[in-house]
Amino acid sequence: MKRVRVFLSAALLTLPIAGLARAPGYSAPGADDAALRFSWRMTVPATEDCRPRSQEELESLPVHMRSPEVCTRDESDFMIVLAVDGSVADTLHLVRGGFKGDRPLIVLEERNLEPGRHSIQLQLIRAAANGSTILAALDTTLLLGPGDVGLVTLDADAGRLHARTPYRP
Amino acid sequence: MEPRRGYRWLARVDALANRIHTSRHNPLYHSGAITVGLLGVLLVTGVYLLLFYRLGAPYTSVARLNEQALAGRWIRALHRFASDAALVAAGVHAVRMYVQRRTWGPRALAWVSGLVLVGVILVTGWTGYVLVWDTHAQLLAAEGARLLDALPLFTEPLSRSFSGDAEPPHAFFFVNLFAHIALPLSIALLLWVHVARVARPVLLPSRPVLWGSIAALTVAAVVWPLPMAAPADLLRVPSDVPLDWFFGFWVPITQRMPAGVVWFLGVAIAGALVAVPWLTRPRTVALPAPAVVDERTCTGCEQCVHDCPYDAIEMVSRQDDGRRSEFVARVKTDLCTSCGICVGSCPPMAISALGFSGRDQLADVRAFLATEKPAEDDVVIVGCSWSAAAGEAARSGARLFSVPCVGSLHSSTVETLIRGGAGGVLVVGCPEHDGRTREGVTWADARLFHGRMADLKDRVDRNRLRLVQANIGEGVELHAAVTAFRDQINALPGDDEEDVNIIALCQARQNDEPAEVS
Repeated sequence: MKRVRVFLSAALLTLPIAGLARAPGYSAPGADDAALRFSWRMTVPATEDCRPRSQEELESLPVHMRSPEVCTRDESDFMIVLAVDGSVADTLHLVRGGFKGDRPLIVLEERNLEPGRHSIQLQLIRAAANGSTILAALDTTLLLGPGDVGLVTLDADAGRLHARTPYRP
Repeated sequence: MEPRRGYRWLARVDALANRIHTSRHNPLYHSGAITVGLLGVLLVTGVYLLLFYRLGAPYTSVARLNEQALAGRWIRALHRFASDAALVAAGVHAVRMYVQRRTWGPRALAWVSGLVLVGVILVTGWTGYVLVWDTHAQLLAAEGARLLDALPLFTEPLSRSFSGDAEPPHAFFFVNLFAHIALPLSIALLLWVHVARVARPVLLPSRPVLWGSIAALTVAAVVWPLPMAAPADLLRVPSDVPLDWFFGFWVPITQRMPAGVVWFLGVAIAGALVAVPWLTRPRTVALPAPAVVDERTCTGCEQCVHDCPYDAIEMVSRQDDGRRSEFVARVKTDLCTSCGICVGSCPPMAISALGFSGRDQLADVRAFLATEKPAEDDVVIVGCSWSAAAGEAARSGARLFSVPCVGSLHSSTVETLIRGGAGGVLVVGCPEHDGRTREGVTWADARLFHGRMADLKDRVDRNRLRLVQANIGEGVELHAAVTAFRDQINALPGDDEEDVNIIALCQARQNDEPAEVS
């Protein structure tokens, strides 16, 4: 009788451990939705507009600040304009890394979509004071099931955006 | 110090487990040691699994191992179950320490290092789960990266490694494997710190408990092995993941919170846990003072040094004339937990703790005998407020002589009780492996029945003395023991000795002279 009690007690202590070690059924948030993910790293060449300082300018500055040139850094903004099924869904403003904003531009964003077939138009835009430039664009149709992630990446060398969907055997 | 409210619940669960497993092999009493034992199981099974793991093909290599029914699948499952059970046992151990008020003062080091140990076990587990690179791993890796990205540590977000642009690099698995092996090595160091302030740490449970735990987990691993989850696919949101709720309990909570909130809550909870020794420390007025040695009386026998469970007493050279001994005991006040065990260990009654010495105890018992006047068939119960002694005294009408711990009970007190007219003395201590003072009941048994100093003299009739281990939830067992003891006493032949002059006996004891009983 005592052995039976010890056995039952051991089973009572062990079964919850074995059960909760692989309890099935957990789904991450968004598992029923589809998602569009943008992920890339883009080196933005620093552009500076420099001119030499005049003699009057130099003399007006303290001795230790008399650098021969004065430069203005390119303050362009970068943004992604996303249109899903023909209507603009989102505009993402991208921020360059680094304290001075001169580090590579790293994009990692995700937007949820209804599962199904979607036409996707995407533009990567550089907006400067003297006008905007479309750096890369994508116009494609994606079929995304529940939990699927459509991934958009940038081939920086070719200046092209690519889209990928999960492998379906 | 009185037990916490939760101690009564804990004692009831303990009592139930004692009935099934006996007090000696109660797994709840061995929870801390079980954790260490299971870490050994993890080491052995982990080395075996490492032989088959391939950095270049993480999922495939584990899946191949999982297909081996004889020497693969169950070992992997045992590795997982042992890690989960170790975490559970560590949690039980922590709750016990908290409820038994064993967290503050000199024990703060053990509490804080224990928390760090649990943290290391959790992180080690995280690295282990990620190594498999299934959906469970993907879930943990992506969530871990998201949380780490919220800290200003990395120039580029770690989460990009799991965006699906490419498979995670081999370096990711190498770093995880390295951490999974290196972190357990730090566990050995932390364990050393954890038990540094205990004189005789018990690192492994009793053999039946250790092998029983391993056998139970092994049977579960063979009968109910772990299935392989689907391979990680970074272009799919993980769904229907067989989540390990012991190591992954935080994921369902944190995934629904901004990373900043998770860090805030995490730091707040961790801070509160670390602060437990200081938050639960009694107020200064209620703080028990450390033990004190009366150096004029100390004979330098070193028994208190041997008996102290916390290595809090040392022998130092005498500063006085040194007539009694070359060395004298001195208490290291920063290590003393005021358990009182040294009071019972000191033959000349030179140590006082919790405000009383053996001499004070004798004075108390003398007053007790004078007021209670126990008869020859009366049982006097001696015990602490953490045992079932008080409850049983109230239930059976027996007389109760309270002590802070049976480890602080001086053998002369017992002798005085028996020779002072009590029919029998029933000493009630906490169960041996669960003593709040670690070794109180162990030393009480050794002193009363096995000649350990300060030993109970041979002239005392042992038939009139019994030591019982019963926690506050074992009133039924204690009642049965009292009834049986009372029957035993009543069956004893009458005492031929003349009446004892208890006053003379106590005075003689105080003067260290042989008592002349008349």
